[in-house]
Amino acid sequence: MNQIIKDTVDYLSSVRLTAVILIAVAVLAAIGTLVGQNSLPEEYVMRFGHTAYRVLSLLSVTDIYHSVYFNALLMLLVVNITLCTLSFAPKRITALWKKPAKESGYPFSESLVSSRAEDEVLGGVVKSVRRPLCRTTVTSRGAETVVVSAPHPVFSLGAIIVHISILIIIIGGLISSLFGFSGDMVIIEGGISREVVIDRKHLVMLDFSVELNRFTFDRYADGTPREYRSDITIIDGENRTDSSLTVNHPAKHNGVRFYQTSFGMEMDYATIEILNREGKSIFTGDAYWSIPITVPGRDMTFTIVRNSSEFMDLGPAVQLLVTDGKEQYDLWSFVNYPDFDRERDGDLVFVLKNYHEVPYSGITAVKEPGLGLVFAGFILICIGFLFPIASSMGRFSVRVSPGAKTTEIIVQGAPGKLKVGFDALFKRLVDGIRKSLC
Amino acid sequence: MLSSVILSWVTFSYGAAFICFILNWMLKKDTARTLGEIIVGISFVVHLAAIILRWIESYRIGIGHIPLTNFYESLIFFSLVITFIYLVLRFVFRYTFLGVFMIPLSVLTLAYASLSPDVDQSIRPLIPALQSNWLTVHVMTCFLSYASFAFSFVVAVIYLFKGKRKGGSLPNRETLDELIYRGILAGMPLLTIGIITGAFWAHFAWGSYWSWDPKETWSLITWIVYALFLHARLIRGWRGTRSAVLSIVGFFCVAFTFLGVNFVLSGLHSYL
Repeated sequence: MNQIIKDTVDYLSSVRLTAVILIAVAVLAAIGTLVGQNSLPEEYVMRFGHTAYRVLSLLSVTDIYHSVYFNALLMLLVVNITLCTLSFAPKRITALWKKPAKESGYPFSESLVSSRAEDEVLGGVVKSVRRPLCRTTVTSRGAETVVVSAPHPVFSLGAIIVHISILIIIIGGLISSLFGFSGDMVIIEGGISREVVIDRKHLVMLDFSVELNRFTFDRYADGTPREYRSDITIIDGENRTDSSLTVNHPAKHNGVRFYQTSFGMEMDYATIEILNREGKSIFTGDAYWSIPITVPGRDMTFTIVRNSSEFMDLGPAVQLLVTDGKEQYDLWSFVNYPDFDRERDGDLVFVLKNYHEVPYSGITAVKEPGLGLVFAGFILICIGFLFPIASSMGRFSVRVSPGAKTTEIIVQGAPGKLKVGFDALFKRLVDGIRKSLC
Repeated sequence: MLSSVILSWVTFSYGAAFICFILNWMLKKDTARTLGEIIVGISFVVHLAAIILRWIESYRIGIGHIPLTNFYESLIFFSLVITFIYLVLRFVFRYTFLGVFMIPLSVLTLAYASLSPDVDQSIRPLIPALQSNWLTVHVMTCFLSYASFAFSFVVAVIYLFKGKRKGGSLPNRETLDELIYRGILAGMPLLTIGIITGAFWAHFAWGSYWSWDPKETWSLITWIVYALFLHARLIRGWRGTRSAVLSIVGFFCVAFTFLGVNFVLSGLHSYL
């Protein structure tokens, strides 16, 4: 039983498993980009056909990065990296306090003799051997003094730092996806909202409101956009804070950040006129979307249920739901075709006199409690990746011992993981010592 | 624009240097190589000057931004970085064999930028998402990493091309093998910084540091392939042909991240 557990843990911490997971992640990620993510169903059907689309969507390939199996892979990666790092980290960390390598491990060696005194030679040697990012140690053993220059041992921790950073980044992302949200707010100029729509499906209510005072859209002379800007006021109880959102300059309140993401025109209200069969006006009034309007003097209400500023290339249009006594019907009315509703042959004719639009701003609202962790991981991983470069620089050891009238110098060198060109470095060191001291 | 005209001429002078390197290869004449190196050196200075001139030109027409913001500019910068790495390896590390292998990359990218009718050379003002201080460091680190990986790729091709033959002007197999590793050892931190500066930027511009946009995703795939390379080499001791092939696979991912994503897929990175 214990053997099975041990084998399982060994497998879970193996580099072989890391390779399998990473290849699987890479392949799934690539498939995701090739299929295209979160497009409209019609698009997939057009590209792949009905059957293929059904299979793709059943396997979550159309939203692969949020699929169960993709996230399970990432969790497996977390387990793998954790166990793997735990298996090698303690040895590397305790090695920091151990003595550097034995002298026999130096493939390069050169003996020199200097006529100068030992003290002077030692000073010169320390100066020549010293390198940036390396630690120089001087130890005496009997009559002999050994000067060693080796990469600072802390640089051997690069792999540990990189692995821990990856864990921190994934865990930070997980915290954000569990306890945070990211969604869209659509606010018309002058409007106030606290509704955040997530994935076109769910609604989150902020515990404060956002008012859009003004939306401005600036273009360069050649027509390319220069700036989108929403001047907003965040209303939190008695507190009102003004800020302006532009792309690359988000605003923040109570852990929620706001980004300028889109913009457009949205119907504010429509003016509806109702005529009787003789063409005489019996009512004119402004109607807002989804708010029923009661026609005075009659048992009748109408409501705008749909609206479009460009309906089937026919210009602005609204769809009305009319409740007249016990009768209920719907109809379309167009600004550009005032006689359109006449052809319905009803008792009354509904005319869309005016379609009034205001600019709206699309604002993304994001709450990411794991963001700090993720960013810490980002900075740490960049640092960790620079360590191996420093740790592969190789070691030099110079032994200095006094002779009868001269001082004996033995220069030794051992390349690190990078061997090419080390002979030249070694030669340069020997030549430098020879030139300055012999 | 003057800078674009100069850059088309630089294309031809890199091409001339390439011909010198081929002649050196075939005739074993060192003079041909020296001539090629001189031409590359001068072309590089002119190339850099032309990019600076383009920067000045953008201010002169009242737009004013660093020339790292569209496809044309990224190609001419990539070509510059490749040449720069070649020059460093040639004159600091004294690798004389690289010219005939690396300069064609500079020629190809610059020729594509200068001569293809599909590449828009005009200087355009920055759309709001690009108006950010992250732009310079993001683009520079990404392209430095692409160029490091390109170097690894070139050496990997040489490695496979050399086979088991001994001698010749090429370094021995152990050296080539380590040069592949060095390119990746330099490219990996650069790519990591490139991806992360991009993530910081995306956080401010789009409200999400990671949105699985095709370009982001492919940069992650590239990162994974090179991470596999490092693990294969350091933990499982991969050397030689296998690791050369893996480096070539990695560079195909780089190429797809840079070019393929723009031509095949659509996404937030549509401007580059």
